[in-house]
Amino acid sequence: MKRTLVPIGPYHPLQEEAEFFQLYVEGETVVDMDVRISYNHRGIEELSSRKTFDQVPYLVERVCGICSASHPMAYIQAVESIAGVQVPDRALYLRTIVLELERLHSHLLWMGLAGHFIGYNTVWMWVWRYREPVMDALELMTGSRVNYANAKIGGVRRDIPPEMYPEIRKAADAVIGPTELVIKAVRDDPVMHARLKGVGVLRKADAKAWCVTGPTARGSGVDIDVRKDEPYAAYDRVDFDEVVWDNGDVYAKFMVRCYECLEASKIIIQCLDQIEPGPVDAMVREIPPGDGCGHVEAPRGETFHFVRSDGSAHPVRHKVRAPSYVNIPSFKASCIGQEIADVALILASVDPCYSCTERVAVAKDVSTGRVVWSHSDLVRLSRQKTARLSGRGNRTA
Amino acid sequence: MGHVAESIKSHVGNELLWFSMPSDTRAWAVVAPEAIRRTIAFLRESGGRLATMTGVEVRDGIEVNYHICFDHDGLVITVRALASWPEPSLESVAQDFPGALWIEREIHDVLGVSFVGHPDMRRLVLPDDWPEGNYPLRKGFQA
Repeated sequence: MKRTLVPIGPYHPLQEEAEFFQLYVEGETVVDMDVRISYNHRGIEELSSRKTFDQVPYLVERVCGICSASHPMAYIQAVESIAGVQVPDRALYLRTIVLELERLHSHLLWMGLAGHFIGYNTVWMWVWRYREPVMDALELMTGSRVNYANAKIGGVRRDIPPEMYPEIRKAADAVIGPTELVIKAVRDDPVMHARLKGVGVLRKADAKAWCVTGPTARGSGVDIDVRKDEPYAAYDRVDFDEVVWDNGDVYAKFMVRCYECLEASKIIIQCLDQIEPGPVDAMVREIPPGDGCGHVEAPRGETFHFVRSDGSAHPVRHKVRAPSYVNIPSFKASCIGQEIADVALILASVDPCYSCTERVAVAKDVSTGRVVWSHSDLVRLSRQKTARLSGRGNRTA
Repeated sequence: MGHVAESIKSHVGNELLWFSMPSDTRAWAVVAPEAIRRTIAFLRESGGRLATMTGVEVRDGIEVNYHICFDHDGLVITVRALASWPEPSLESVAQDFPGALWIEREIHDVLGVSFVGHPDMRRLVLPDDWPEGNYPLRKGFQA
């Protein structure tokens, strides 16, 4: 059969970073793929070595607009391990609340987009509506919807008054009902089962070989979660479950994220119950020479930072490894043999960065260079499949 | 957690040049460059996951740090090997498992370490028209 190259990418105006997926297809089936990255390399690691230790969190929270609490936290923990800092309890709780609010808003964002790609635009609109109170809580706590600038070496930058607790609790509570609704809707809908189950399976052995992390690993039965394995912030003082599903398909990843929203909400409420007044900053004055590693369970998986200090005001070397850097290459294991109508969903299932699949996509015939599919064609294909399965004929949703 | 530390000593033998475990959660090791592939393979067989690798330019060459997480023990072991001047090179660990493919390509791009045996050493982070032999993260780099 004739082999066709389907390029997806590299640029899209909605995206802060660009990736370029090249799918090789025979008929409707993907037979090979390649990923190209770094169209927008920002040199953050080099830039970081020109900032002072206290300035770097502002830089690394801009690595990703969604994980803007997790990246500084991993860096800060690496530096704190070099300096041997004892962080005050209240600061640990405040960090935990922001990290879990971040997980909520990231997972809800993803659930909405997954709905959009399947052709359930109502899910998209409603889930994003449920996400708003979480964003408001983040703004209330840190003064910003993204790039919170909240954590600092030795503690947090901004304390919150007790009058704010009920507001945050309300936001965490408000997520539970809608999330349960989505879980039920997905579980009871035969069309969702047909679209998500057995699609894009990442087997457990592949998940380990590709070193994937986060919901991508936990959806494939690999029970790793930094919050449980090496508890940081206040995670050792709250009770929550590590959500692990074995199937490795898109359905499993969907469910892991849904149930993690419920757990995140539980964690926030426990933190608000347990938090006590006290200082929020250990007042670290200098960082001694040494090496430190810090890792944090970001919404998409483990983010890992390595910092080397020589005793000066700047890190000598700062390595940043975001979760998508290990999750994206695993497409090579999960996409091959799949139908092209499912690929948009499989690529979205690791949450590579929310609009990674919603970018300029043009399919060209390799031999003639003629355009075969455009991005809107691919999304239309995905939606048509849902419509077909639900007996709604060949109509786009 | 001590058992991983003990077994790395007995497994790598004389090629383990230095080992330190300052806390229950962090361990640091330096191995001879010839032993790096063997050491990483052993740590993976013992249940380790390669989180990532960091290349650092030092006086004698490029030092490559392999960060291995033992998730269920909450332990991160960083194994270090030196790729010496003038032609820094190390044996590739990506030939044993695909999780190291990208990071070895990246370190090759920005610091110029050759990973011998890597199955697919194309550029990852540098553009196609970037001049050969010009490594942007090296200290002498002029933009």
